[in-house]
Amino acid sequence: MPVLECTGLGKKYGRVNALEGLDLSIEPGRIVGLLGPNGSGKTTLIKLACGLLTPSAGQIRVCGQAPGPKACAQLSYLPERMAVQSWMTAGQLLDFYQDFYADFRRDAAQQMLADLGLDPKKKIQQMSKGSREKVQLILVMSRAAKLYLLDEPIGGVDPATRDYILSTIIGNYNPEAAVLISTHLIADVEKILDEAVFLKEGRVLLHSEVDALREEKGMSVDELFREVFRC
Amino acid sequence: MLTKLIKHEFRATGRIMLPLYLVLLATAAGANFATRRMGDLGVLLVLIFALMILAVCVVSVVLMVQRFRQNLLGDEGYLMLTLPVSIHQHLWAKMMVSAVWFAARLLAMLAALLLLVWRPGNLEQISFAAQNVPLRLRDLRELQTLMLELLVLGFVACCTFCLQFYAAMAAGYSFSSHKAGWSVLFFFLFGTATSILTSLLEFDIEFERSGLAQVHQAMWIIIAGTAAVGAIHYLITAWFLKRRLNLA
Repeated sequence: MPVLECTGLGKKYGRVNALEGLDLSIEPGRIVGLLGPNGSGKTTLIKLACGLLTPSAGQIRVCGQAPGPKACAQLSYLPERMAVQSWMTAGQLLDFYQDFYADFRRDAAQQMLADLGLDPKKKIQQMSKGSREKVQLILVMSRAAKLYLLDEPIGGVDPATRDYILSTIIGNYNPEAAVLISTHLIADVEKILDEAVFLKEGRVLLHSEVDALREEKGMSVDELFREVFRC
Repeated sequence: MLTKLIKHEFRATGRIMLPLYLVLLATAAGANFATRRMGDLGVLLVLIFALMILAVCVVSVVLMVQRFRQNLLGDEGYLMLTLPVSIHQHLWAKMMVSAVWFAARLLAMLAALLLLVWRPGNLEQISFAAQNVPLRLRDLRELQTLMLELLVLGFVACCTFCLQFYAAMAAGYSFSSHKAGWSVLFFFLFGTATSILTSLLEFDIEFERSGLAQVHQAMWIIIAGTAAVGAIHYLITAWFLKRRLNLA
């Protein structure tokens, strides 16, 4: 069963179509890059999967469930904004996640905090922007979810941390779980992707295995992206 | 999950409300001491005490509004609204915790006033008065019933009060821009609609009983009316959060 399935999915903001007739299926065990220029509908698609938006047409299912509390228990979402409560310490945030998610692996989270030199007793508001983003990513990746939805996970961190995050994503590999990464930094994530989905004006322009794509087009995904979306 | 939400809501709000109540009590104790021993300085401390009472009232309402706005409609909403928790649980957790803080505010203010006017020898006077009040068993039961009704009314009124703000914000924040402005507009719009609706529904009630029984009957009618207003605002809030959520 696909972990994420969209059928004829559409979302309108007023008269503007953010997504239109989108069909997409993501199977477990895959790391998928959701790629497209600004305004192509990447964040809208992720928000629809999380239930933060209601579709205007079609349907979306996470592990066979319509968006809602049951689907949220199966997915782990990293928003592009800082969503954790800044008055809390990193340690209190671990308590928070442990309370609400049965699949939260506290030991893994503590290990990652230590690896990145983050103090669990320090308040989020006292941390640098990069450290805050790391804490948020650690919380999301410390769950044993079926679907990880990562919206710009490496946008605000330094290259060394970027490598750590990508190795964490690979290290977290679970044949029953899929990872959907929305990003502009294609060159950085390309090496870990199994599949790439190109979105253009709310529609799927291309959905293919990354290896097949490289072989067929004779170029990297990054090069192909630049060619397809050339201004 | 509701108990966990309530626990975290208390943790988030308690760090502000508890110190505030403690400062209020300390100010009352200081004002009491100063009015008895320090003359003019006592007047100043009583003035500070009055300002503290005002601050406690304002902060508890602002905190209730701010928690809803920031925690569900602001950036924190990306995390809170993707927890495996329903919108109804979020709303009940916020309402119940706010109601508890409103009740705590009342108790803290009463305790502070007692502290302010307390004089040595008051304890003996209270004990004497309590022993000499001619309270029959029937009166005691009536008093208990009335207290229970007041408690229910207090809870329902607190929830309805919160929901009037929640509904206005949920509607206002569904717009892409000028969210705060829309919220204020909706607050007055919903308030006016409620006033018009209640004035249209005004009817004469013929009480079947007399005396205290009539008071009880009137209390339950007021509770039902307040609950109905709250229920309408609850449905509006839940609908906007479910169907028209528009996080920044």
